[in-house]
Amino acid sequence: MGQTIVYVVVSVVICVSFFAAVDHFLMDAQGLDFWYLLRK
Amino acid sequence: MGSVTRTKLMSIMALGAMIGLLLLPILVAIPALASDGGAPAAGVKKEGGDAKVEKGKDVYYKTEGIVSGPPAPKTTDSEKDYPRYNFESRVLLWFANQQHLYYGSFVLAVPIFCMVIEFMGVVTKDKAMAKRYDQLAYDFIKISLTAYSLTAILGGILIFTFLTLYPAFFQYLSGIFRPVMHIYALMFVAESGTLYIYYYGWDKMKEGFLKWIHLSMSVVLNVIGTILMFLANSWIGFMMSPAGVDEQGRYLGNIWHVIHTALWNPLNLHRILGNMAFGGGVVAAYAAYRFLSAKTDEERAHYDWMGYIAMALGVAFLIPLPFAGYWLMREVYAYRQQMGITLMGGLLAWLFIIQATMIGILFLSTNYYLWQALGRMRGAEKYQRYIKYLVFLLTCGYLVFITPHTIVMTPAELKAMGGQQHPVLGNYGVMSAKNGGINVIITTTVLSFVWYMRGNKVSTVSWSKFGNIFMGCFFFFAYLNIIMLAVYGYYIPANVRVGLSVPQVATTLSCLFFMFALNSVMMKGAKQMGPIEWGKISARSQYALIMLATAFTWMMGLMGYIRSSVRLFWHVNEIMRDNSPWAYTHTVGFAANMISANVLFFWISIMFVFWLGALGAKKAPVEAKAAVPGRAAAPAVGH
Amino acid sequence: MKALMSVGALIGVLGLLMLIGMIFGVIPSNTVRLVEGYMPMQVLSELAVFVAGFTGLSYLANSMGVAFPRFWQGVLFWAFIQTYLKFRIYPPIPFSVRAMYGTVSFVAVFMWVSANEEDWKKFRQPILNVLDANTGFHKALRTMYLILLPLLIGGFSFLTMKPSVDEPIELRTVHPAPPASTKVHGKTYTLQTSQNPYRVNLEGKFDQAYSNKLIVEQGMGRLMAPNANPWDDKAEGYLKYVREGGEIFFQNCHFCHGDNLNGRGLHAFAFNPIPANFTDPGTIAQLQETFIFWRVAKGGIGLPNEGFPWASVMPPWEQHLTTDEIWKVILFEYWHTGYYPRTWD
Repeated sequence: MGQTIVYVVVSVVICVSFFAAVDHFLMDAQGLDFWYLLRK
Repeated sequence: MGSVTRTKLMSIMALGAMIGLLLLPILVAIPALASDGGAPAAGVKKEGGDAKVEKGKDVYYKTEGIVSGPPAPKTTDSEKDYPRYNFESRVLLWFANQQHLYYGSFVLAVPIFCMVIEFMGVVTKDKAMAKRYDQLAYDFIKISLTAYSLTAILGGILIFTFLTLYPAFFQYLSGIFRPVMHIYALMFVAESGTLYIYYYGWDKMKEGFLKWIHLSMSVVLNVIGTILMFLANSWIGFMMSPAGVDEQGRYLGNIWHVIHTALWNPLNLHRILGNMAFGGGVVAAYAAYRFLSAKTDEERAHYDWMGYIAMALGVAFLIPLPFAGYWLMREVYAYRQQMGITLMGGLLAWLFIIQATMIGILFLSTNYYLWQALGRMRGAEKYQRYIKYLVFLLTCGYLVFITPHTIVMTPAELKAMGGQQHPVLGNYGVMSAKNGGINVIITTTVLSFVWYMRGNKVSTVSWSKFGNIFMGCFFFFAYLNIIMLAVYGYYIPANVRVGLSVPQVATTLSCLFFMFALNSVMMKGAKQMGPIEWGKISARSQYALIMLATAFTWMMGLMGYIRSSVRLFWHVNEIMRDNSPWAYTHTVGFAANMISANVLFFWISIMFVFWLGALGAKKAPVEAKAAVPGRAAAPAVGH
Repeated sequence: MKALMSVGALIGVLGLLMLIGMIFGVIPSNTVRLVEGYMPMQVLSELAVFVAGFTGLSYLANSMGVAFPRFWQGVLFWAFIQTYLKFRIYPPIPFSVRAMYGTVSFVAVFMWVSANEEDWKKFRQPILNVLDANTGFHKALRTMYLILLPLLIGGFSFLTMKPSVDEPIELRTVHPAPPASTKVHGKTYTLQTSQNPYRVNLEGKFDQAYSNKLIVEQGMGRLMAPNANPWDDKAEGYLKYVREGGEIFFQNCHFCHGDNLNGRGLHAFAFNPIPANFTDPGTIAQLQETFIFWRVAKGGIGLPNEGFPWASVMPPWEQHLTTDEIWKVILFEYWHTGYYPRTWD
């Protein structure tokens, strides 16, 4: 059970950071700001 | 052997001739281009002896060029400019054009299939499979030959229709594209030559070094075919988004500018992908038909397998297609906002709702087929109970995707709604939601595919538990990201929102690439619960394939109609006006009927083509040949 | 697992009871409020909750040994979707959209029940039973269908083809394509490139990013941005123009477009189509300022035919306002609704 939780946590961290990076860098490549709403 | 060496030599010479034929028109064209003032941009070519050199400004590139052609003709509704039968010329041209495009698309797609499948046949380690792949590729190219001559016939009919019914327009267009049209014609020589040698030399070039030459020929064949399509696309691109001419339509000497219009490359990409998807659909439908009419289990197994391969290749190219289409639309908007609004916000908006419906049908059919295909694998039962959740995801995505922005409603409903927009549905009707919807649909299709790939296998790698959890997380967060981006779009300015589609696409494509890759790594040396029982698939799945093919065909017709009618009353957008009596936009109902008629005619004629293909078959079936022991001892592939 | 399914089942039952209440008018449609701003996701989430609930119910029924026939599962689920769409969502969804949704959900239910051979056999069984009519009950059922179906189909055809006294449906294009340029008060404006001369920053240069920070916050509070009150005496530049635009708006526009800019002005329901709701994400939020400029200046009669110029009572404001006033009003509209005008760069 503990092992499963470790796996889940690691997967979540990898996936969330991957998708955040994809969002950020692909918007950046178009000269746009992904974090627009948070900047206000 | 002397004969082998001679065959080798002849094959290499043939390949060289093909490449030469491919390059020759381009080589010949270079001096022609040079003297036409081929130097781009502001290069001023000194025309010795010309006293008055008139300059013009390119409508798109905004560069200066020397006027080298007549202005666009100002046509009148007369027998001179628009000779006619007692029938709408436009409809005749539409029919000729559409059929030519269907067949052209098919004959461009099939060689790509053959190239991929033949290559798979060469690199597969399993000898029996390799033979099957090879035979499959051969069967495909056989079908393509009849279709190829039909394409040429239809092309001829198309040109005659243009010449006889739209002489003023065609004279203008061919005046500008003269060298392109010549190269186009010469490329057909190359294409035919390559195709015939590729087909007829198949058996002679079966093994070893010759096989690699044969494969190279398939590559050359595809390059030629693709160039042909690119050249034809330049004419359409010019009609929609002219460049290289000034405001009066006078050619300014730079052939590259008239070819490389704003919409040329989006059209190129979209059409390559569309060809493959369409070709895959047609072949899959053929396989489905043969499956349903099969008398023996072997036949059923063979056509089930063929249908699966065709569908897989077609769908592989279908998945990036919406993104190519989105790029095309973005370029249209960037070129002329008006054209963009006419397409999706104004007159032609309802056609896009129909398109959304068709896209949904495509993906739903694909998913349905894959779920049926899970049924022919032992061990795939574990996925069956989750299918209803996939149905739910697909349905939600689909419902959002087809919600129209302009809703058809009675005035009573309008009053009940309190306005033109519905507070809930109105949100589904805009692009931010629709991107989310379609990406959810595509991700779900990827998920179905992954399940199919691992259907009858149990992973035996040491880290399989982590792998499974990771895959589940990845898909979950992919969905979350897509939906989050869709919702986010409502809260930010339009110019930022438009960019959100790129991360959404990337999310979906990440699922596709990474999950497929991870899955294949995880399935290395996996324990098979049972073989794939080819042929033991429900009839419903074959109907799904036929549905897929019909939907593809209908969509091609629809989008072609949209592409054409967005020009409204222009032959060449803003350059040459359409002054024929048919310079109006058809009603949506008429267009739909016309598209359906085209689809029906195409399918009847392609059935004829398939029948012709079967007519010529006198050889014994592949299975009998493969069973002969002597064959298996033939020299191994590869040197 | 069982606990989870039980909870799901409970939610499903509660949800169904509420829906039945809404169908029979026992409870109003807005009992569980569709939260403004979250409505689209809320609808999808509610459907997801219902699906989870039904799964739970089905699981519980199975574990108790009561098999709920697949056939009825499919039919009832489809019926549920139709009633949900018709009675839960308010304001009511037009029939054309419900028809589209109904067809899609029908296909979806079919895909679900026929996903594998076993389920498909189970689904088909009741139909085959009636067709085969091996028992007295099924014989009676088959005879009943034989009589009932033609009557229903005939009746439905009759009702559809019967002429009605309702106004015919109009397919008005809400966003017709604008012209490339428009001439207002003697000056020609190219729609793709013109800019609002009053959307300026402190240096007096066109700056959308600057104005975007000063608009009203979206969402339920509709609060003004801090230190961005146009009615402050010290307001300068953009904010001052917003105030001036507001004054023009309330002198000319709010009678139809409403004081909350939501298309619910005094005269709104005297017209068909009613005045545009600027707070809706489908109106000014999607459009360029030049588009709005064209619409305001040229009015309803300036629309192309696809926009039904004969039906729109939007006055051609160029006859009453200067171009500066028009630009300021547009500035105010975007400020008040908290939307950003569409741009291309």
